[in-house]
Amino acid sequence: MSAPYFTLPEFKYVKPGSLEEALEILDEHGEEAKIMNGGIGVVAFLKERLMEAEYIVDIKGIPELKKIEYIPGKGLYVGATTTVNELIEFLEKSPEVREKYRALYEASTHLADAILRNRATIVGDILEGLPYMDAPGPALIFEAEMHAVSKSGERWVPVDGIVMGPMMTQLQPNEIVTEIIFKEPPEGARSGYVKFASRTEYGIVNVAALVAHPNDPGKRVVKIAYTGATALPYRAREAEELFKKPEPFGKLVEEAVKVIQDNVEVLEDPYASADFRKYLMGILTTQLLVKLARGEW
Amino acid sequence: MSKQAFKVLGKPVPPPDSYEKVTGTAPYTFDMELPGMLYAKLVTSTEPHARIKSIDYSKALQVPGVRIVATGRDFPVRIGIYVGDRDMLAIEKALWVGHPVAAVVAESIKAAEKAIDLVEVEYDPLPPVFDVEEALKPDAPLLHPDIANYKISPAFKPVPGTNIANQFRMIKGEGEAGFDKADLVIEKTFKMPFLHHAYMETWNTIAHYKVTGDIEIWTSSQSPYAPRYLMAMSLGVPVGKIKMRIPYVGGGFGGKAGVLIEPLVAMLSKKAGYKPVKLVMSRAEQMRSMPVIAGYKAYAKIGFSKDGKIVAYKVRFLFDTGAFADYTVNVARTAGYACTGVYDMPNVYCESLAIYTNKVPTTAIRGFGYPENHWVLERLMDMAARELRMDPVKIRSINLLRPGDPTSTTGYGSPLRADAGDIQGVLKTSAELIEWDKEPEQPKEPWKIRAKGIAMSLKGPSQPPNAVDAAIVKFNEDASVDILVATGNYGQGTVNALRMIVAEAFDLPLDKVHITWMNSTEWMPYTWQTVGSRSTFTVGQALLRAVEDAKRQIFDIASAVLKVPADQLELADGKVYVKGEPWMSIPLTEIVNGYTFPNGQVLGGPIIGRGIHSPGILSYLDPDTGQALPINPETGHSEPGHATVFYTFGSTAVEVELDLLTGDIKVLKATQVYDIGRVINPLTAKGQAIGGLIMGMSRALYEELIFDDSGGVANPNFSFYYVARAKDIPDDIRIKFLETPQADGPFGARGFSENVMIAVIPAIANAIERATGVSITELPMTHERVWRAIKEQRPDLIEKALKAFQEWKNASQG
Repeated sequence: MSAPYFTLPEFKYVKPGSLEEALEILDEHGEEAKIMNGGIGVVAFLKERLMEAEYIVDIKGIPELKKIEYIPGKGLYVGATTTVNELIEFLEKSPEVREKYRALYEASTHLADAILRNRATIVGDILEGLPYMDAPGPALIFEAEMHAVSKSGERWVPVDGIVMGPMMTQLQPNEIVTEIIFKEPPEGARSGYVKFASRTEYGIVNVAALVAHPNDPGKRVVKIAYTGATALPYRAREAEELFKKPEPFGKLVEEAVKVIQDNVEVLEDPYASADFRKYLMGILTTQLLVKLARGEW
Repeated sequence: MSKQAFKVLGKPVPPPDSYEKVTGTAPYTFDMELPGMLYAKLVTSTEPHARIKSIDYSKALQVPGVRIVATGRDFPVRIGIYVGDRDMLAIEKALWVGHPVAAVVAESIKAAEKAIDLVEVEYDPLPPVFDVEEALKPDAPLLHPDIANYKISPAFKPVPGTNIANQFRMIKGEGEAGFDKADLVIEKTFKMPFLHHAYMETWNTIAHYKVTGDIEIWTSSQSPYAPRYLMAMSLGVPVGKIKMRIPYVGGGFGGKAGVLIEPLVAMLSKKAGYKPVKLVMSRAEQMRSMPVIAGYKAYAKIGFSKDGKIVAYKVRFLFDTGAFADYTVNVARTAGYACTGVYDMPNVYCESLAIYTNKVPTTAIRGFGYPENHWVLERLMDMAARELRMDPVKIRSINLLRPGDPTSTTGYGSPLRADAGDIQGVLKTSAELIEWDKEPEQPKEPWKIRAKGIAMSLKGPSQPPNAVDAAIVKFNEDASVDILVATGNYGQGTVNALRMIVAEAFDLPLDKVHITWMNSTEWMPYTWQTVGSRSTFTVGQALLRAVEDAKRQIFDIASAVLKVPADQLELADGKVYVKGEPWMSIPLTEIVNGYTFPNGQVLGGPIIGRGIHSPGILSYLDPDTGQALPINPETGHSEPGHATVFYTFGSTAVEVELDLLTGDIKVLKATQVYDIGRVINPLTAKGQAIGGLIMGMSRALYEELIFDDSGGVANPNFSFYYVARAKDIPDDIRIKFLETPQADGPFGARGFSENVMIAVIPAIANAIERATGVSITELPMTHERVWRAIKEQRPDLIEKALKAFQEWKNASQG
């Protein structure tokens, strides 16, 4: 955000009223058409001249893209155009669902600010692809998948790996994400989210974690994911595997942290050194996992 | 006068402009449009230091709607308030990444923004210098080799042939030799980063150079006369031809003092065929291309006797002014002459240099050298307290200046006036409010520590000795009063306070005293500038004299009508009374436009009062000794010259919580104590105290402009230049104002609205020092910086904290 412009570059704005119409436009114009959802990323990228588009296809007029539905046993479905504030409101009205998806709820309340959350969407936050977004961490620990639809078909794409960098995804230019599912967490799981910001509004380390049956090695499940510290959202799968060992939880936390710190490639920028980020990942992960295990989170 | 005697003063009065501001109806320059208006946009340098070989704007001119492109060759003049080193568009050389090198004027902002990308500038790079100490080396690249030919105000002393824009020294007693007597000597290096003012409105100007030679300007400046005069001087146009109009302004914090972009926009208007031209800054342009706040490096040394008395002090400030030092030379000079803060010191040597580097230029800032010099001195006081095992309140108390004592000094050799304020009372009250003697309750996590810290501050306006002000009061037909002052209204509440002063002095209800939102040189009388917490004090006095002048005119008429001498009349409740005979009166409405006798004859005419403030006791400080030049007896003053018209004393104490594991600092409680002479409006006074606390906290913990490898600002936005937000504000803020009146202040008042941020910054670091023994000397105190400081200075604390953390973790096993 350092370009001098007030105005946006020229483009044709289209707001299709149905999914069919939107897919038609994308098919016709290919790379020259860009999808706009909440617009938080797209408008900023356009203003910065980091993105060019002949057509901006606003998908907010497609009715079926706005939905929130929890189906027990399957998961929480959130429409692509559902705003973060709509999700927060839903979760606050459904305490049981909120507790199941606590990390998602906490990350949502930390995402941008209350005004931007009126436009920002969970799907948009994930697909923007910048390192410090808030939604990807919870998406990874809830094994989220996005439903991508094109004229030639539809598919469910796991969020883990969907983003390859800022504005770069595995999606095809003619695909529209209609919704995201956060899968049903394991029975007895608790989850939480820590955003550690240091003189920017973004986290230098964001941790999302989920813990089920911490003291029962046979049933124990631990999931850990990061943003902010790494260039892409990072799921600490090797560390998660450790928790299958029949050892005390606290000891495994220590081992897990070491594995994460040894394996992860962290960012270094003027806001935090790589050393400090790695060190903080250890502290924050330990605090979150232990508190989740003790029911103190 | 006791407090109860006031009808208006001391009551909480919301500034009338608040209503327009919160409803979004207040017009700012940014909102204004004129018929036929054109829009300007700047092309900025991509090189930190380079000769401009050529600028090819032929393609830009082909963009539909583009009228003209201007470069530094069109207006090769320099502007500025103290050191006239600024150009309007780069003259021959680009001096930083972001330096405006050309301007496009077009029929729409869209066309202008398209055209700036088509201007091709060819640079011949020169070696840049980004660091003040590198810039001082004899072989350093020179940014301003022609400085000897610039317009320089008499108080300043650039060193031609170097990058030194100003050099100031203050010597007292034996200077450095005084350290021979010290039992304890502490030497430390301090740093403050470059900062942005973070006003909500950026610099915005509309100028219309008319075919008559009149220049009409609407601008987001703090006040109208300084930019007008400075513009007239640099452009060589008659000052009276310039009409400088200032609508609502979205904050200033010193960053809109002096001259902004008015001369450039006026010349663009002329070049574009005498059309009105608007130039507005995006946040990124503002932070990369327009003046910000200087950073510094300071080498300090302080000596104490073993009983805790300061025996000698030496400090050398190296202010990094960026490419233009203009206003910053006075920030640096002020940091120098007020380097001794609130303390009495027998031996002092302070030096302050303002040094050019190839970075974004800098300008004035709220606090103006005082947050800068207090960050050094108030930190040293706590380091000494720790070394001497003395209480930080006690070591301050025994070293404080003594008002009225001729041996006391504010650093430059003049006695501190006897009615300057209750300096000991400020310290005592601050300590009481934070419950200094009570240990803070410790959090249950053993890796977190709570501690209290305290700091003192003083602040006076840094104005030229000849800065004068005028004020006018005029009556409307209904005997209500219009206040005419050129004092800027950009959120401080000053103009509203002036309104309250006038209502009190005339004994009129507040709704009978009017102020206006549009400030202009056309109808407001002269005021030097609205800066330095000076206006309530100086313009307030001018207004009281204007009220007296109006009263004299009123009493002259009433005296003739009531047939009693004027000195037996008094004004109250909108009537003129005979003292002691309240049944003998005339309503003001029958006087303000002259008294009309029953036969239709009129006596007198419209009542207009005028008054001035002239600070006769100020004189220039000798740049080599810091001593005020001798006073001319013709002014009616005989004491030695002063540097400021008042000093206000203050103190902030805080209770903070430090997380040893993460370096996180939370301010839990804070006190704000100031002796402001008289609380005119408790509502806005409190607002300033809270605002200053937050601004100080923000500078202590978060704010820093970050530079990339080519010296360009890398975080020109509020996502990465973090300013304190609502969630960061402490829940527990304890504010108290002492009211020791100053004889010449309006109803005893002195200014204080900059002082409120000064002590906050060292108080937070002092609390960390008390909690851990770790000395933090560099701002901001980011998580990583604090964590590293603890790791380096007290590794045992981190180890202990980590051990406690492990124990806490392992408690979950089993």
